[in-house]
Amino acid sequence: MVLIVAATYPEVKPLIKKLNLSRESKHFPLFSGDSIKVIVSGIGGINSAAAVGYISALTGNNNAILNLGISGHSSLEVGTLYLANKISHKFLPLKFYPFIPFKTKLPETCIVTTEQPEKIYPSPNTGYDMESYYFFSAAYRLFSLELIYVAKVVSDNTQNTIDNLNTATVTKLMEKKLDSILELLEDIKKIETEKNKLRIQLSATSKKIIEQLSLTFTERKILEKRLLNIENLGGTKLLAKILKISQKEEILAKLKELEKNLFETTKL
Amino acid sequence: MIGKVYVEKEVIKHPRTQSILKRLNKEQDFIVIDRWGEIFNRKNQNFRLQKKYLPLILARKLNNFVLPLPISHKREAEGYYFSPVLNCLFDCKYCFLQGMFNSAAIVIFVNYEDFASKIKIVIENTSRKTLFSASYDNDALALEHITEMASFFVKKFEELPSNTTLELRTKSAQIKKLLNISPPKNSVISFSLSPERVYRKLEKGTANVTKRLNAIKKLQLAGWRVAITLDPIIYYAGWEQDYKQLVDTIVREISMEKLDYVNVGILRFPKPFFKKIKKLYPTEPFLSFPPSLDEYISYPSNITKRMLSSIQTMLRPISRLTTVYLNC
Repeated sequence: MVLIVAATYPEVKPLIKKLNLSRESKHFPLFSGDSIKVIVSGIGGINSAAAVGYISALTGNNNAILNLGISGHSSLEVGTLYLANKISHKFLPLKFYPFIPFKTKLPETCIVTTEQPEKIYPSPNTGYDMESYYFFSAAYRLFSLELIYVAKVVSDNTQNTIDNLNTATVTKLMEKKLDSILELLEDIKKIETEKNKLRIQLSATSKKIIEQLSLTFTERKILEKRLLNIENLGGTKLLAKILKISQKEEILAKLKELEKNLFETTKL
Repeated sequence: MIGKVYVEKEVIKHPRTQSILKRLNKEQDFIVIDRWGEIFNRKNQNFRLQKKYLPLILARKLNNFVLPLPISHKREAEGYYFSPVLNCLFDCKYCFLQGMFNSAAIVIFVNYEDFASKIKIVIENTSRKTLFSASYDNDALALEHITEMASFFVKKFEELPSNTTLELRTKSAQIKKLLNISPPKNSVISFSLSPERVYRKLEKGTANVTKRLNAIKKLQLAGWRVAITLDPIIYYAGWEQDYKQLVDTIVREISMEKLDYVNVGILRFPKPFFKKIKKLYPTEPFLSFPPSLDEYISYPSNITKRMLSSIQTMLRPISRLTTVYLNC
């Protein structure tokens, strides 16, 4: 699943409509589909970080998470969708470097988070927003680096000031970039799927074996590892026989022997 | 594949930074960072995903230039290692660097000269024979066309006393740049060799065994000191035949008398490294063994004993002609 954190509703309105996401209002406005959830955090860093924590608690941290919205930019034209490859704060020392593990045609630049809208755009080739630093700080505690992204559509620059923006113009800007945003979401989904391939579930038989035994926490962990090894070594079918045994000690001894025998004959 | 390039602010103008960026065709396409640790040391990174699109960091090393080799690598010489490059272009499934580092990013410390002066100080403070490994944290030749690290240190070691040896380990066949240098007295290129099956299944991106053997032959012919590393030896049904075949090939193809030494070791990991690597390859059969409960994770003792006995037998034709170091 891809989780999207946006500061305001107009920034994600076209996406919500396009994907026909349904509203589930709780502490934050939240819109859900099969593989995407959009949360509207409110403007500013603290709201954004809170939304990251909230959506992570709701959905787990094995998903990808994207901060999507508008930003100012010192070099890019209004209407350009770009990815952040370096995130810093105007007054804070830490910096973050998103890792983008796919090829993209989108431009990549650094972004600086400010506490007030930036109207001077002092650094060359730099975006300015009010959330991404806090979004990333919070997300980085919870999600794997390769699954955290910041994508912005340029809404203002030295030629087009922020004062001309209103909810309608913001929605229009985002709508124009909808196809590119959907392409980006596809790329992110692929990476998320690849990452989640590393999350392995034990088979139903292994789970049954664990359930039928009274185990301490440590015993359970050791047994889970042993059962996973047995499955990796092609012994899942052989586990069915173990289910018929009732004595705990006998089960554990048989599994130990099975793991050893399977490994000794395993092929590369 | 090299993805993004990050350069520490402090080394942007360093001549080695500039030449590396030029070779990568990234002179204008890099991200400026303060310190390499900002990227490399952070937790919550996935080594496997990063391998697909390898970040490269150009930085300056500030301390810990030369460190003692772990006990398992000790020889009759005082053993040290230094790492101007961290991580590797190759993608070997058993590589312990996956368990050691949080990031797969390749770090190149461009201040090679500082490493060289610290090495000199270590040598000046001992009367014993010394061995310096430059490839404990990397493959010494895989990135030679970009880093020129091996060429630099081979030349530097020629200026050092003759009881000092530089060891460069590799799974590549990138010897072009080395062949342009007159064969040094103080440097040994140690080629890691594995049976064809292990190469195909576990050593993604490396040169195939034939290419590595050809590189050994070319270097020997040019007068270079060469060693062989059979470490880690991997257990699987049929391992013995495969490794026996490899040893036979080595004896047939390589001039044993000219071989400096052979390093041998069975697959083993420090416990925390094994835990991390298992998470990266949760379904790999070759890592699905009941682990020993020692500080170092390896095969169960009955397998290890059998392996050691077989290895000693199969290496007899080699050990008669050159020194064999068993690292376990």
